[in-house]
Amino acid sequence: MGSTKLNKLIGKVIWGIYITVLVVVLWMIFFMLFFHSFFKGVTLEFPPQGFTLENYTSITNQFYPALRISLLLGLATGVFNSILGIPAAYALTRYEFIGKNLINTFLLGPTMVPAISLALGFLAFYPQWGMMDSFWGLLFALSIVTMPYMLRSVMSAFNELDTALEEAAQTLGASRLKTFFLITLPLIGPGVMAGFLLTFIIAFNEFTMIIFVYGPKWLPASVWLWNMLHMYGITPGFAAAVAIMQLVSFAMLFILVRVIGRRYLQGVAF
Amino acid sequence: MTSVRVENLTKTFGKTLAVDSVSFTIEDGQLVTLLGPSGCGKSTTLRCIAGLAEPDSGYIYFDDRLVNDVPVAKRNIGLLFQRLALFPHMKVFDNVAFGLRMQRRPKEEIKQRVTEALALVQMSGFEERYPRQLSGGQQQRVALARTMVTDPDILLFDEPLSSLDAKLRDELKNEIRRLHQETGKTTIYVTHDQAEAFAISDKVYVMHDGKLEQEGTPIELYLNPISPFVASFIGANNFIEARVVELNPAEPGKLAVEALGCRIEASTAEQLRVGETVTLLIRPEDIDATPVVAESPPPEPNTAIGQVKVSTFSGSNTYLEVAVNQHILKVSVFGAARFALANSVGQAIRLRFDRCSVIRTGR
Amino acid sequence: MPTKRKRWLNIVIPLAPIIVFYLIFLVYPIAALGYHSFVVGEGGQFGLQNYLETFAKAGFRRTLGHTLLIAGSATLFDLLLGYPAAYYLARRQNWIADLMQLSLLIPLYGGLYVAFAFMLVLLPNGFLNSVLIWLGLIEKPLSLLYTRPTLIAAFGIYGLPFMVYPLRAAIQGIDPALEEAARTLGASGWQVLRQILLPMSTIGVIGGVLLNFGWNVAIFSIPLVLSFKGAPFLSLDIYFSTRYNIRWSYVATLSTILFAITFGLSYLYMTLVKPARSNTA
Repeated sequence: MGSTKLNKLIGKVIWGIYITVLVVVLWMIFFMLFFHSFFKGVTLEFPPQGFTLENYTSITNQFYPALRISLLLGLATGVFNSILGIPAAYALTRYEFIGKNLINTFLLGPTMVPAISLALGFLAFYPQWGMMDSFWGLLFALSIVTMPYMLRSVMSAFNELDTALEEAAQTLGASRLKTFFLITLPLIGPGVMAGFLLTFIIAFNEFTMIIFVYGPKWLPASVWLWNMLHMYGITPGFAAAVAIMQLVSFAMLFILVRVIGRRYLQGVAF
Repeated sequence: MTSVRVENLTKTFGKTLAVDSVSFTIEDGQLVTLLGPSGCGKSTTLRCIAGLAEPDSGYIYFDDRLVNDVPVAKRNIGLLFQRLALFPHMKVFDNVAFGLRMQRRPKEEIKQRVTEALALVQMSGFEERYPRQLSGGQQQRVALARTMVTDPDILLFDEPLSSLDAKLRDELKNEIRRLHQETGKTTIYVTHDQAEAFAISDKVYVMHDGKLEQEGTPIELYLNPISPFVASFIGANNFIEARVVELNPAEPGKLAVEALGCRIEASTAEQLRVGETVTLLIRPEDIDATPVVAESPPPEPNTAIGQVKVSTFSGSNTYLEVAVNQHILKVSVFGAARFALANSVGQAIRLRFDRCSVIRTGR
Repeated sequence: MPTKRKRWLNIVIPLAPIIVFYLIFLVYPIAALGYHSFVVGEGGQFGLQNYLETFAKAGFRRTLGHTLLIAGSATLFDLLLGYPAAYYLARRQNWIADLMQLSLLIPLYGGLYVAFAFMLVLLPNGFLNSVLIWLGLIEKPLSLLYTRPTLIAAFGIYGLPFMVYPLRAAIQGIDPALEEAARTLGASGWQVLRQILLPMSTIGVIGGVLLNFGWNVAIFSIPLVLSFKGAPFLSLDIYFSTRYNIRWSYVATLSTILFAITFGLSYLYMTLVKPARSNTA
């Protein structure tokens, strides 16, 4: 019948509009600032006086130290989370014991706590512990909020790993330790990588957790951006810095999806 | 060459008693099968022997050496898994070489032994491939090579053929049998497939609900099952209520019972009394079936007349369900007679029973 | 048996470092703040004084109310915006779905970027105003930036993944054959939605709402950039209270109240929603 064909078409058009709007709005978060970073000038204005790449080079001296710190912290948090998280994930997936569910939920705890409250708690104790404006201080703050993502990723990898493989290695004479390094670790590699990349992306961009405990010596990029905004407002240079942050995050996400597999995205939020 | 002795092995999982005080001895060089349905405890027993599961109580001896506290890696066993378990991130060569590398053998020796092992399972030339590039049968062969190359004292097989199709299963079954004959290693095989067990084993242990029900050679188990479970698990069987009418003091294993409205001579391993109610076992393939033509001849022992209710021709045999005296008997007809009876529903038929055995009811 | 103790060691040793880490950097800060929120007066006594005082302040009640208002509005916004997306992602496996998934991850990088983008678009000399003036539709720039709808939209975009993913999981749990059956029985798209999808995805909706709302209440970066006079937020209050002389009992109280809300919602989610859908990680 003609009306159902029309209805179907209307339905398709509505879906098309909805999805387009949704996707466009979400991508605008990135593209607005990205476009703006190529504008000539030092203030926010449309239309721009011209286009240039200068903004990316002009912010080098100011922004790059902060960028380097954020990159370092991102990587370090990834490493730290792996060291703590892999054994924990192993114990949680390979053994049954009382309190396992409790510990499992507990370790996902940071997702149930507001970041600003936790950050406040750090503000209360870091001075006493001498961890204000320090590498380790920032590292621990970033690690506690990203650990659940590492845990979920690695636990998922362990669950997919057939125990028969580890048992086979043992029957062939491999000790527990050898089995772990020769068989288990290589096979959970993708899961670890996924957790690492997720950790990096979040730690690299994190703002709330470090807002109280950063300092002049250790000033991550996110705080740098906030300070810049406060002082100068939005400028093409500012936009360039933001664009760099987002491009790095995109690159990591790209690696995650391409190299490791789309399914790891499922676990991002939950 | 090692013998395996298991004494009172017990293992519980949560609330389930998986293995209930199982004891047996396997002589050096034997190929023995633990046979039973899923959940009977056969795999658990095997895993305890391998060291992958810890028994709650009981002892396991390799050659009179207690191995309860010996870790898996040190038991010098070879285990072939149901689920293959080839290392996906290693090539075929590295998979097979793994055990030898754990033993820290020199490189040349490893290369030589791996090549020999792959030749033994007819997988030469596949050294550089990855497991995912191989078919299921090929993977299982490589797994077999990996298991054998380290020259273990004992070989353990945990239902290795159940994930393969029928043709591959046959091929590999013969391969395993051949390898056992060539190497003479003590082998413990676990399966739920009775035909498989019979095809390769010297001795079969039938397990049920965590207990060892019966042990014996394939023929012993076939001819003289000692319980209804074994009787129905080994091949097909007809279970018929019967009453003992005559015992033979001169030959204690032979007796006569009344069943199906006639007198049937059978054998038994039990001590019975006249008048006792027992269960008569008749195998479908031990029933001789001929169409009834002329008048009924005088009743002979071990003969009955019945009517065909179901008849199915499946090529190598004809399967019949025959109503005799309020019982339905399953009959498998082989040989030339199977054609005549291929479509015999409704016909009258004469059945002659052979090799019947008697067991206590409800054991 | 020696191996039983060894097994126990195999469990404890890998878990010990991370648990200690959590105790120091998660449990202790939150617990200590909670503890301080109950410390009343100079003498170190305990009581609910701080809470009573805080709730007595009209300013606080306004802040709390406004926070809940924005959070709730954003949740509603996300529910309406996100349900169709969740449906599409649950039912389709094409490149469009992939693109949507990728797009949904963009806000996750940080609320700061969401806020920056909004600023760029809505500032008096920003994109929108410039375009409208250039098109001649308006003469003076509209002040759209520091308004409640903008806050709600920003919150909404930031928290969208937290709504879409639980919803998608819930819809995936509904057999598509049910929708098809309904269609063959004459149901229109709307009717399928109302009679089949919504009733059956209720748990998922509740889950999405709980997670999304809990997330919204605690957001800090967006209010920091986009709030204005008359738009107070609990997270902002906490932040500003630390700028000068910190009154720990007060700020600990604020923080614990926020914690209680977020944790309570998460707890509800864990106990009500997660067990009901056993196939979630």
